[in-house]
Amino acid sequence: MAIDFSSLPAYLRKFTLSLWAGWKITSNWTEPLLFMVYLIVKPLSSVLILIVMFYVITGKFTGEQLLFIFIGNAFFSIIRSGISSVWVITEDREWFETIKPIFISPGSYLSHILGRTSAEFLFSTFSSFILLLAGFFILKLPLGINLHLLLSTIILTLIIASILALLFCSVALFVGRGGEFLVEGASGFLYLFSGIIFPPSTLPTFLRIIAEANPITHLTNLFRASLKVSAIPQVEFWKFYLLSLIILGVSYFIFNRALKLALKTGMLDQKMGH
Amino acid sequence: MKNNNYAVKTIDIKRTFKKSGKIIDALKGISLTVNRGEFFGVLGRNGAGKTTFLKILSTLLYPTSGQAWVGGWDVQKDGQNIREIINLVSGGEESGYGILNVRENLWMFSQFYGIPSSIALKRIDKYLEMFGLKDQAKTRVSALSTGMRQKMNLIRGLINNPEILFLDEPTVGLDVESARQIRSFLKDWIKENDRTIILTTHYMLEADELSERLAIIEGGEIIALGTPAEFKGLSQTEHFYELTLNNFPESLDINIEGVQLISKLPQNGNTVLKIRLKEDSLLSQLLTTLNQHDARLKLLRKKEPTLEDAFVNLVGKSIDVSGA
Amino acid sequence: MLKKILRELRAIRGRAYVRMVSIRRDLLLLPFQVILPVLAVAAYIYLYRFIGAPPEYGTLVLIGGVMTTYWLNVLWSMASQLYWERMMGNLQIYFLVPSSRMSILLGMAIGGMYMTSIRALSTLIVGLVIFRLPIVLKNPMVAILLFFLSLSALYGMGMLLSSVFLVWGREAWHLSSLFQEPIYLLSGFYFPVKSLGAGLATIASLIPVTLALDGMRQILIPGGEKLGFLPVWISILILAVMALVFPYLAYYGLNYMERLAKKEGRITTRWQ
Repeated sequence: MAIDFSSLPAYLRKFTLSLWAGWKITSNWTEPLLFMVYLIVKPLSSVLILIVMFYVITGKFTGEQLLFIFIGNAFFSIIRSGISSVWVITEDREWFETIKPIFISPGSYLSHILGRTSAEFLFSTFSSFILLLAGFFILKLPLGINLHLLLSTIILTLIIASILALLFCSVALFVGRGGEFLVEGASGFLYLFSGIIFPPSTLPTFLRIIAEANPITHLTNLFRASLKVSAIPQVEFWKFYLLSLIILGVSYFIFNRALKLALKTGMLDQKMGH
Repeated sequence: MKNNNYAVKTIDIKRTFKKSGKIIDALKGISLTVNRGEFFGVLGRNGAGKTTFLKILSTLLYPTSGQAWVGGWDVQKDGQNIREIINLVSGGEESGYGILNVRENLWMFSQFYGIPSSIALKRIDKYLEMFGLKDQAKTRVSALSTGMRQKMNLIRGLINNPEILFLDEPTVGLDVESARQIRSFLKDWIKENDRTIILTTHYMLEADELSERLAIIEGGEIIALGTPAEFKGLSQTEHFYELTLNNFPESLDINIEGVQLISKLPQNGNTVLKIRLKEDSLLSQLLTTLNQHDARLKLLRKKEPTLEDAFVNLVGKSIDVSGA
Repeated sequence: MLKKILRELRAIRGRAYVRMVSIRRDLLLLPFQVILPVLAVAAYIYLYRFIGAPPEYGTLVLIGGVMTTYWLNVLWSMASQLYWERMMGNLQIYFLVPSSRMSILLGMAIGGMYMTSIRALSTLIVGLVIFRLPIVLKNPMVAILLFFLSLSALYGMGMLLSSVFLVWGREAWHLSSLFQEPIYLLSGFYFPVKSLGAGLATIASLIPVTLALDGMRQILIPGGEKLGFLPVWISILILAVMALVFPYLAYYGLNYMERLAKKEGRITTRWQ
């Protein structure tokens, strides 16, 4: 389990290259302008669905509830980047057939997954930023900014997204197209249990326990507070960082175990397309 | 228009591709006729245009200009009719679904030809046994070795008992024994079933052993057409020698008019040169040059011309012969 | 003729088999399909509760959730499946065989539909049992007709969309992904489509699932008539036309794109 620090440059190189590859794979299929539109249209449509739902019931485009929903959804598209990393396994194994050369090159496969996750994270953060600007200028949402809190929240979100990436990639190593549905299902889970579009108090007690124990719920609230739409939650940051790093460590352990099992069972490079 | 006298006929087939704004001529006008029941080889280096040619014949790609008929059917207008009577197997292809086992994959492909399951499964089992894959019938394709995978691909190509079988470097990457097994099978199959095979390869041995007639493609053009024996005959006027040398300087460039180096291979600490001479008298000049560079001659043999010699003679360059 | 029909039927069966068998072999595929999609539907039901919507809006979301499964099957397991096939090296084999590409696509659809229907049914049951949502069956025959017509139209549209993947690869994949959410929005998966206004709702009605959702909500939700955009019989009529027109367009679309792909040399390009 001990990390060999002498190989740190290889880890970093692989991370950087995977970040670059992630950027290329995601963006170079079209012109930069169309790619920008692509980055914006998806989250914009999903938030418009919520706005129309809100309007159908309340008949208005303003209100604290709408603010709650809007910000939660903008945050969701960032955190979702962690789950989307499942596609890294699909692409490497099923599509581009690069899993073997990437795996055997210096540095760990983990650095590759984290690099690709970080690329997704950057794209999602950009989309969210545009979405928030649209909310501020078009819907006239009363948004402010607590820069210190926002930066802390973004760093924590990157850690949590990495945790999600490691955990879901651990599962994806053993499934074929199931990975595709894993992304969808896990997104549904987070949508339901992270205080994204409604507060956990809306849920029945037995489900509320899950939502309140979920660190992402607190992170969503921190994001809202960093945009000054709610009071700063009573969270001791060092504890949150510590907890996140401990979970990251556990995820690292799980991922390594999963990788070993995949090697043991020969599933690492086994295509399972259908 | 259907004309059944030949298996394949092409008239001035050209194909260009656009790559990074540049026009690349993959085929520069191929005219060819392959008779029914013939084992026809297409020999050429990597990138010579062999695969492009087979793609056009198997209806996967349209020619930019020219005409081609397979089984008497036009490749552009009668693709459906052609697909009824052909199959194509490419070396290193990855077709099939990893979730299925070998037998299931082959059965699935047979269904695309409308073969009743009872017939298809019997045929599959027969071929699995012939190719030594019986024990792998229930193995998922993703767990097969390269050789096994390629044998499975070949069975896929035979599943519809095609009248015309296109083989695009079918033994590439295979071990010597597997390649030999496939070659031996193909020689029997074409005779017993009165079928036509068009094989592309860059392995000389394979082309020599299998082909009744050969076309050599270079730079998208057929530069020679004939039987392997005719090709070898072309080189009869030349003189081939094999020299085993000790202490041969790596940097030495043999620059004597009428002397051509065909290959240079290390062997047990020595260097083996294959040389073509325009006339025998040039040998003494060559040996003098080698002596001046301290290369010691250990063995000298006069060689009969091979297909490779003929190829070098025509193309001017050697080819990878390591795989066969 | 009979031989040709049998060949097409066998091709459908051959391709459907892959999907059917994958349920048993692709670890966790079934639980992912059955349990996890319910969570997103539940999230939207709780959102309506959060903003004080009447309970029938929960049923509206549930019907949307059920139809979403079919839309996703069409989009990801049929239309863009040719992208998977290209990346896996199978696409060129599909163009070597004499059976129709439509049969192979139909095989994918039928194999996928088996799993999708399990998923749709589980979503429906979980929704009705856990959330105790109000539902009525005013006219079961019309509901069934609407459902099957919409599936025929939807899968025809999927075949038409799949033709795009013969020429394009990653671009088409991303465009599919790009259209997923806007179509959720336009089709009114989670709200009555008439809320978009007559103009947008009319445009949205070009997507079969919009009409299916609109019609089914009118039939299955108590007082659902007031949520409707078009009378149910008009939706049925339009869907019947679409069920005929889309496969016809798909046939020509696939042929046209096949010719284009062969001209441009795209069929055999694996990574693009």
